[in-house]
Amino acid sequence: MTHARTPATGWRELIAKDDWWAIWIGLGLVAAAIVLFEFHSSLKWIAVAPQKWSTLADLGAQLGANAPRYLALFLLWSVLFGLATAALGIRIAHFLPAFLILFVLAGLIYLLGLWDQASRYNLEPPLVALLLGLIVSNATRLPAWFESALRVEFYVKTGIVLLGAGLPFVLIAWAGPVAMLQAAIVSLVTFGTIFFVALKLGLDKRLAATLGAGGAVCGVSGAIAVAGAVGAKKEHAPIAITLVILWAIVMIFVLPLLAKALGLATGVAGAWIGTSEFADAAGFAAAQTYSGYAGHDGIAGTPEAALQAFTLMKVIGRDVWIGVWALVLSIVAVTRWEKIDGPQQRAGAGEIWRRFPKFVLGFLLASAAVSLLAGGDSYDQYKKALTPEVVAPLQALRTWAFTLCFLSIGLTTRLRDLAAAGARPFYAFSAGVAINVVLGYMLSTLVFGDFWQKLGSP
Amino acid sequence: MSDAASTPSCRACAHFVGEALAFERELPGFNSLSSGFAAVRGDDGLCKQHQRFVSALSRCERFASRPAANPHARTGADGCG
Repeated sequence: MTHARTPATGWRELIAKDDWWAIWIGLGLVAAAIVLFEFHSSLKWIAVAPQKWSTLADLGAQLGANAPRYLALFLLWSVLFGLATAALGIRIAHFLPAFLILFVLAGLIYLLGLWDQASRYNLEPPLVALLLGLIVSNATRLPAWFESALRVEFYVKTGIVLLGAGLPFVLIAWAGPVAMLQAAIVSLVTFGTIFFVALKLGLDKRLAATLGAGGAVCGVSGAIAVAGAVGAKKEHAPIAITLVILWAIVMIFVLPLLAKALGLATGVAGAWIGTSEFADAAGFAAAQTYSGYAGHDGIAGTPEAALQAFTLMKVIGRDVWIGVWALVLSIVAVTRWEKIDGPQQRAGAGEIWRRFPKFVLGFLLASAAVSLLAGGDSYDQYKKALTPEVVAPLQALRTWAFTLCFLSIGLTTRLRDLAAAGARPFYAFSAGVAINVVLGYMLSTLVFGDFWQKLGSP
Repeated sequence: MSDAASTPSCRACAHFVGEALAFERELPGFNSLSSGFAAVRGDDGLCKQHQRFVSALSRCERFASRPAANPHARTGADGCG
């Protein structure tokens, strides 16, 4: 097979990777919110978010009153995401109609979550979005053009950058090292478990490493990064993809339910989910679900704490190290493992930056920008002035981005497309999952429990 | 056939699938929780000759030049398989 386009290199990467587009869009919105604030205005009007409702009449009145705002928000997202996807090479004529459908569905799910009886029926928006998507994609065959708008990673990265605006930089500096320590322990143990169980079961070292990275670092992205670094066979990746997706989806439902049954505070549960989920998008679905439990059934902590602890643990604690994992495993593969028939792999320190999840920079910059704006304000002043005018509109936009993401996960997960993983890879990966969940729970509750609890104190 | 060290890198090879959407099409289910456009993928792609994941900077003796690009050819960049 041949193809005309070549991979992004150098400066072109700034418009050819979705990480960078998430930064441009996320930071652009943060900058707009700050500039408007300085001019005594706000993004509030366009960052429309549904309000609680109890009857269909309430809902109709709310929608009628805000129709121009929803239209404006749709136009804003269409321009921003449309520009980005066009630059990425996705046909805009396919993207726009598909995005309209996705936006309407996301809006309906967002609205459903604000029904005053929603929690009674467990209608948590992330779970509804995921289930609806799974049913539609597996019961029907979606038209190819519709898939243009299903950019799971792009939406979640944009949401993460926006999330940075609501997380004071001092909090990242305070909690970041603990998150890194906890994540390092769990990542090393999980990788080691999957890798050595896989070898014991007679699997290829490169498959073992690919599976290990998928379970320990950052899901499918981690598995593919390491597959490239060690020169894994093509058939190794679909095995890792299948196992990560299946376990990630199981964990979206299991971790919040388990944490709720154990009565964990939001910060503690967020840290556990961040330690034990496999992919950012799936983890945010679980963490956002748990944030919806705050204040109900004795669950202590703020709703935001579940997302904040998850982000610190998963993004700062685990994701940023993928380049180091890839570099180390690449060196081990070249120097210690049997030589492969194929191109010679080159490993260098540049690997760490090349594979660095750049959207993390946007997350940190968004946090730094809003923290600088707050300056020497007291917490009360921050809550009174900045929260409603700057942070809350950005949080509403973030919720939209995440809802688009959760819906896209379901709509892109077609079980019939997933490869059969085989029993031995399944056992190896599942051994890692079991160790990860137990160790993640112990570290999040027993070892660092007080710390994560404090993060969620109102 | 030629010595690997003297050949251009895989980036320019006809067997190398590195473009994001083409890469996604090679791996069903991949974009459910990841993306061909993700920075973590770096310069990696799939070598169709060896059926392995390789870096765009790798080299091998089976390098094959790409045919000149047809300016009227679609890149297939429509986000769908």
